[in-house]
Amino acid sequence: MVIPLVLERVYVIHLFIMSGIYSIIVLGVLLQFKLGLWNLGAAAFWGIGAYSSALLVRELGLSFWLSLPLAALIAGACALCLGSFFIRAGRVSFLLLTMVLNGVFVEIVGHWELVGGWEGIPRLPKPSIHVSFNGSVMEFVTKTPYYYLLLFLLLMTVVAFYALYSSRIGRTWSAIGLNSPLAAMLGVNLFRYKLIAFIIAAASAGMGGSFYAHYQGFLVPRMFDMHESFYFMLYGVVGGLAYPIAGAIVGSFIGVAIPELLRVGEMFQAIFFGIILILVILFARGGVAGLLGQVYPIIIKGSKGVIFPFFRELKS
Amino acid sequence: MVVLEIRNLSKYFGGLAAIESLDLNVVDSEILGVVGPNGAGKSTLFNVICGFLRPSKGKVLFKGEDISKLDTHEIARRGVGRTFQQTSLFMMSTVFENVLTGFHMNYRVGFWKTFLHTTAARKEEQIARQKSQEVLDFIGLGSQKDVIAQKLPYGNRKICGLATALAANPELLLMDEPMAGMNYAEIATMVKVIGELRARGLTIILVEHNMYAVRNLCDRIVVLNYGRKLAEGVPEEVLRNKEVIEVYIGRG
Repeated sequence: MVIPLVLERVYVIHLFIMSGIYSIIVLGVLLQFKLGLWNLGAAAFWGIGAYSSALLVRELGLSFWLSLPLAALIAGACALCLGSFFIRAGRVSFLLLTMVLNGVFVEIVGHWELVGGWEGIPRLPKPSIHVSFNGSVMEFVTKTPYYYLLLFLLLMTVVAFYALYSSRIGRTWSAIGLNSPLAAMLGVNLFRYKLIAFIIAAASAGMGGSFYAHYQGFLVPRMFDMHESFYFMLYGVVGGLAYPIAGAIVGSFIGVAIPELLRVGEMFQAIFFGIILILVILFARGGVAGLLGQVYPIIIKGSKGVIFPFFRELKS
Repeated sequence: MVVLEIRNLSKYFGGLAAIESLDLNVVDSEILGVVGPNGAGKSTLFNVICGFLRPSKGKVLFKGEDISKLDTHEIARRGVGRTFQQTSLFMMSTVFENVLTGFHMNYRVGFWKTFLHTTAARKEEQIARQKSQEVLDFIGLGSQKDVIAQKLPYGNRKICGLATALAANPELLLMDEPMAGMNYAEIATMVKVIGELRARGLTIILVEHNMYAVRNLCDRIVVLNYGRKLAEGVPEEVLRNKEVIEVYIGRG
């Protein structure tokens, strides 16, 4: 929180902001993964949120503060429609369908003049806050206000996910992930719980997308390409599948940090990431969050009730 | 009073008839044994009753209602419970959490109230936790409540699995080889427990290979072979039936 005051290095703030945006999306990815929903199309909902927000602001003249929640709702509504079909398919079919969704989304947006086709939407207005009592306007000029807004959004999302995971809903999700036939025989409506997770993940991605659009100031279809979806899953795995909240954040930070620390070109970045992924799978099933948790027990303590039961042993 | 009625049930997997023209009735508060060699269709029968599979032909009626086309959770909500053969537990959860999940159907509070952890939601959670503790104390696993299920010895796992299924308060319980892998002492205990359940009004369908248990518990048994009903009746008679013996031990 203190960071923008201490570090004037705008670029570092940018990295934090991007990590935060990714965290919001990866939170949803890990949630779905826990239920056996292998979603490789999260970037599509990210994009739906971003483009919806941009259109609402440009065509309907809404303020960003309204378009953000609306974008989340729109992304959630899309998930509701698609989910009814996607989720009833098997695991692999779901995976393929989400990939197809991602590809189709990019194609549609690329060929749609309203959103500028492949050139996208160039100049999105920056968010501003109208301070009513003296009529002045605060504009988001530097990166700093974006940082604080993102921090707020991320915090809000984390709290929401924590509330879910520590409730009966979270326990039911765990049950589905551990033994779904048994859960079904105990009266759990598998479809409904999976759909809820799918919608929540889509809505958070959509919210992240709206923020992303107005932060970047422009939108291009390629930003939501399928490989972004792969990266989200990757960040989740590296962060730690066992820790649905801490893992999402840790994984996203690593995911953004690595290309920066290794500025030797994309190919080498990919190799390094691959190596880290293999190391995680072989030695640290709990991911980096798990490793950190052994050093800073607060992560584990704070995750109490939120740990994926798959990796319980790591807790002790 | 007939609790479960299976009418002319057939289940085909491609060309293979896993179950063929099966008729079966289960009466209130009885223990019906389903026996037969491996591959006879016993597990398939359970899977069809529970809704994991749809009948190819015929119907399943529970308390007079056709449940053939219902989803598993809807069938469970109507009062059908099941213990699974090896995997009747949430392995990576604690004993307490296992039993707690059994009370899932008791919750009335909706999504938003649960998410917001309202007083009503917390109250229901509290009640469920209390009941779970009572169940655990009753069956004697109270001291193990925070042990992860995977770390339990085999016998205790079975007990925990049964407790979880019972937490859901079923009227009809399908038990899939509950004695498998048990020693004599454990079998004797389980026989007592199941008898006790029947005394409390639970109707049970028991798939079991252990003949001691079958003889001592079942009011009637049905013998399946290659998906067909081979014999039905009181255990003493059925187990003396020549065909039944042949099926188990072979000819010659």
